[in-house]
Amino acid sequence: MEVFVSAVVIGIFQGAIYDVMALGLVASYRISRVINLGQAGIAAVGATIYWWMTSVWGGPTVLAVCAGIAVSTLIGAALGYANLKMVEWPRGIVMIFTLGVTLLLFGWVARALPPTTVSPISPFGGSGFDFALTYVAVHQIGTLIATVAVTIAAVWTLSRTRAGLFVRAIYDNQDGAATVGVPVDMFVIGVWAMAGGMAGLAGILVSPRTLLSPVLLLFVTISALVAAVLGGLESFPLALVGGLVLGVIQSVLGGVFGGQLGPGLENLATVLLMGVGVLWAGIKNRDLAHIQT
Amino acid sequence: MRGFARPDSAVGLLAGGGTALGPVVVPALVVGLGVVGFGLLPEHLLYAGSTAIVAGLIGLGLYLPLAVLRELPLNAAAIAGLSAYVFAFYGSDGGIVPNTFGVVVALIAAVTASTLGGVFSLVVTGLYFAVASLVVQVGIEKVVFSIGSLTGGNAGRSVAQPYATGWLSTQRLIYLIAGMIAMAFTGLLWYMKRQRTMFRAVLVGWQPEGAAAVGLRGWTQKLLVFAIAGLLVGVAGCLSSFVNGTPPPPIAFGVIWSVIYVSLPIASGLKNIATVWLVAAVFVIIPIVLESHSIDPNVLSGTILLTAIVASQSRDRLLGRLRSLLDPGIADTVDTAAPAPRALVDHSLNGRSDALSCAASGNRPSSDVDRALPATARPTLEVTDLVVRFGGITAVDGVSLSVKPGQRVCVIGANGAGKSTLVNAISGFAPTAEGTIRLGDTDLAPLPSFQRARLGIGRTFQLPRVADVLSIEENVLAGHGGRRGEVTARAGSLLERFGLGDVRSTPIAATPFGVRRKAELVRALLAEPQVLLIDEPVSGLEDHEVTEILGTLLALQAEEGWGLLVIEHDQQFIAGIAEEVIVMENGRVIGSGGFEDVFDDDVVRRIYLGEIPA
Repeated sequence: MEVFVSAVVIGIFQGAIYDVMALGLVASYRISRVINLGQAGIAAVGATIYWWMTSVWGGPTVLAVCAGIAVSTLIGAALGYANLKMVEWPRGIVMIFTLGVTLLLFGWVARALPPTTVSPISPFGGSGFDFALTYVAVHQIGTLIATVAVTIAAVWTLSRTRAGLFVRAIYDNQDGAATVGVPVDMFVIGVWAMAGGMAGLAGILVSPRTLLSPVLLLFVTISALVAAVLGGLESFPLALVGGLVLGVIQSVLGGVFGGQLGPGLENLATVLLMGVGVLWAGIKNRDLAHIQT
Repeated sequence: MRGFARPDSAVGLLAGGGTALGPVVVPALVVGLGVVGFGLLPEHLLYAGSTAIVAGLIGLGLYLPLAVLRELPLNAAAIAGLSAYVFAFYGSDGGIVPNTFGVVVALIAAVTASTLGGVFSLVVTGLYFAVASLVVQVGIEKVVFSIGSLTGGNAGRSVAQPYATGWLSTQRLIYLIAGMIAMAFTGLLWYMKRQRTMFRAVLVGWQPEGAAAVGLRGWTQKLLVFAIAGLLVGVAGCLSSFVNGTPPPPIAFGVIWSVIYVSLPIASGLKNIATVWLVAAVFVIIPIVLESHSIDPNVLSGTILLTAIVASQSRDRLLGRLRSLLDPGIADTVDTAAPAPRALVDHSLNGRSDALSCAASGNRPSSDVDRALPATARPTLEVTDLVVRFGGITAVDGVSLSVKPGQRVCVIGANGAGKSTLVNAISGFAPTAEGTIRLGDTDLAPLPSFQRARLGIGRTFQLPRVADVLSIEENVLAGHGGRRGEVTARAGSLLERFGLGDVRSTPIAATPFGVRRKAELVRALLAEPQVLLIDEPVSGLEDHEVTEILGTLLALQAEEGWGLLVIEHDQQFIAGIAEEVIVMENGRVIGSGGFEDVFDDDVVRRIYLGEIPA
């Protein structure tokens, strides 16, 4: 039981990491019907800038976080602008395009990072405390709070502001929104920029707990994608829940069965659950599932 | 027949400007490059050439689900890796028997993995399928590749390579073997593209409802495509172990590679399988050639990937600009929509029959035609108290009707009356809540749409469900059943009768709406239906096309004796064809009878014609 509780606690924090990335995926998907795998590359750039400013330059943490998010936002905006030029392309091909961008960004990150592996310091400090037989880092608490705050901000902006109304109008019917004077291009770029900022934040929050590894960030992006799919790809709160559920399941399965099963097999249940989750979400959202790739 | 390439497309231009050279130029170029590579490539680049062959084979495998089914599988690298490791696992001892056994087991593993991945496409399509295939990729990476006893761990396993010295070195021999295997499978795929089996798969991928309406079982076609794709990817996996002398490390089969592989056929434009080879060569050889310039491989792969995707998606525009630059006079024709082929217009004008003049005058055809039924007894379609509900809405409410052999029944009603839902329910495309649907002694209600089609319920749709990537004849032949020779002969005869004989090889995407309509009718008739359901067969057509279709349908029905249930708004058409008219409103039948009786009824005139009683 104690192991289970401990695994749940760890899983919630792990899920929070997926959530930050999943929120950006949901944002760009809703506005353009594109699964933006460029998030992985943007996250790597954001984390690298943060690492360089804190560990190499020795600058203030807040400034480093802001710089990482700002650059990520700019890249996101550029990607959004490129997406506007691809509106006639099949959405699956735009998805492949975004992964090409990730490859380019990974290439830049590989040049910027030293040959040895690095792990940036946490923006929330390195302390922690024991809870339910588990050592909880302040970084994990900070990540969870940041995720919830970003979700609340995104939902509030969408539901309570005029800009949110415009964005919802574009979600619903892009041509219709344009005919009533909504500056569609500006808002599409804006949402992609916001998604880029979220990816940068995700990179900054993920890498102190693990390593600053582009490949690792790609796997985090895929897990976040599954979390977003579990939430139907349309909803910020459901993506939040999807990320937490996925994180907890991964952690519990790893915690309970880890060490008892052969290498790789401990991941089997998680992968199977991810597959079932995607199928369930796909059946539930058949109208979206028919968007041809 | 020419497979599902579109000669009107940009790739058609690339492959020879849409001329007769098209199918020859690119394959010849690829074979030429391969042969030149074998003869002239220096020793250190032969490995790059062999690697390009491996990548090309994977791209070729992915071409099928992409072009045929319009699905985006993102798990090819993992399947290739699985095959590579299984092959090395059994074949590492060397010798013909272990190697052969290793190849067989590896291919079984790859085909199984690909087919199981394809099962996802039976449940979800589009982006959800792409994500599901990504999960399969991650699953194989995280689970299977973590099993050290399979992958050989850090030490890896060795795979036997031929030993040769002199000009025909080991690397050159490996290149030759890989190239011959690639050519064999490319030839096989080229042959398959021209077979009816593949037309069916294309129809399933592009128009699933159209496929079900001609009796195709969608899941078998889909899984077949994924199995063939798995075979090609599996062969590539085995080759990768063979070319390297050991299976590459798991990172070489990671998710990034899956995306790079899938971009090969995408960048090729998905029209011509030979172009996949050109793209694969560029993708693999450029990074290896530029290796000494210390360019990060991710940057290089990303740049090539983005360039290839942009080029493939903007090729029409780029080629148009290029051609207009080279020949300014051509600019006007580049942007002009293709006019209807002249032969179609001529056929439409010349194809009039006696029945046409009946229709034009609003009279019913002669009873002589009505009675000229074949001796073969056909079953009657009996619909009793049919109810169809969508949520809380009752779209069809207690409808009963029958269509006897040789009978023509027309259902009319305002928009939203439930006419199309009725046809959908009879043909299995809408769920039946209550009531029975029988064809002779067979209860159709529990059967899926493709089985109803096989039992003789033929149908067409309001908007023709034809696959744009196929020609007229290929669309027609894509239906289920029949011996090859007989089917081809009947298809030829029907195409001639509907005035499509001279244009049968035209890509259907380049034809006007009326031709698509007629092609779909021919496809439905090819299966020799017991009852034909046609949904607004003449909406959107010119008057001469209406009369031509009417005349041909009446003549064919007189010869073959199938029952006909028509939904139509065109009063002239109804007058020309209907023996019995059924009027629907709000899902219910509110009247029925002969044409004159029904159209003389005040209620019908109010509902159907919008007339206000005096």
